[in-house]
Amino acid sequence: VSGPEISCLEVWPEIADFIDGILDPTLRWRIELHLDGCERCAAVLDGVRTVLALAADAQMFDLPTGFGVRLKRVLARKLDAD
Amino acid sequence: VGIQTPSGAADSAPRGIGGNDQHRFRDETIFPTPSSTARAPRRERPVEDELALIKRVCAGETRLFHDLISPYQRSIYVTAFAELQNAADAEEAAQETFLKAFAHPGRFRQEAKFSTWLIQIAVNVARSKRRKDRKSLYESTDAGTDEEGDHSPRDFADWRETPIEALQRTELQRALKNAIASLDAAHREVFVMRDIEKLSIAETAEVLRISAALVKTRLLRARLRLRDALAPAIDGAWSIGEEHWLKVRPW
Repeated sequence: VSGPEISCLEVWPEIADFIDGILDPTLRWRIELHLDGCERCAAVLDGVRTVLALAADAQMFDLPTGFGVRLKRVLARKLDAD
Repeated sequence: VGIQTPSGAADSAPRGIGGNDQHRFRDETIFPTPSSTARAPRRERPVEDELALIKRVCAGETRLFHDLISPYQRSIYVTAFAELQNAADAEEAAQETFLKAFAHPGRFRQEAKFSTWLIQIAVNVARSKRRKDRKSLYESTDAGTDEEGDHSPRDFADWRETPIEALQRTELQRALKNAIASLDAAHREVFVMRDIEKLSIAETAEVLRISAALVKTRLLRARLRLRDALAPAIDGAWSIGEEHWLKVRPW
């Protein structure tokens, strides 16, 4: 039976699933153990989490000014045409 | 030495942002926790209300269509923008998406969420538009994109010890937008579906017509590439798009 130790090379491919919380509990635990002692992987994980937090910000992708008005106009024209 | 037991199942609290661990490092005025992000919670419409609205539109009350699609304007625009990388083209594709949905509301089969159905249409419209614009000659979502193998972050620049406090949110957002734009379409669309539009892996796979395994592979790579792209260089400046990174320190 292999021990709980896991290498950085084994951690990186699992980072997305780790963040999404869909890892097998045992593998998750082994990665958590690794992260507690590995500055590099912890930094990578933090970096990815920061990317996700920024991406979740509504201000990231605002609609162009007037988008809603123009859409309403397009739909109204279609309605009138029908 | 005590034996630690797996804690993953019980403790799924994220580390770092929003997590409660020793690696927490951010100034939350710059890096909000997910719960404090400025993203206003979508005013979720109860599914029953939405289905009732769809029925009425299908029954001829077409003037209700705008109410029906109104909550999804941003999602559809962002989806189209992920494909087309141009605001005017994305708006045109978004309008076309809603017109297609308006023309055939009865095609919504309720096997998926209404929003997912709209996003599916938007992906098809935007891809078609991109093909017409011949952009696919230069970039294809189906092209071999080195799906397997190298998942290594390129750089270990540690954000915790760089002068991030001086960087403004808008600068970070601009940097991330540039980084997302620099992804190839295959990785960009998976990132946008999953991490911006918050579709599940299964929904993302369905919308993009790829396997769930491929979604996961592309998502991992996209997230790591974006993380790498945002890693600050030694002088604290952003170096988006540069070939080589000045590392904060050699590891």
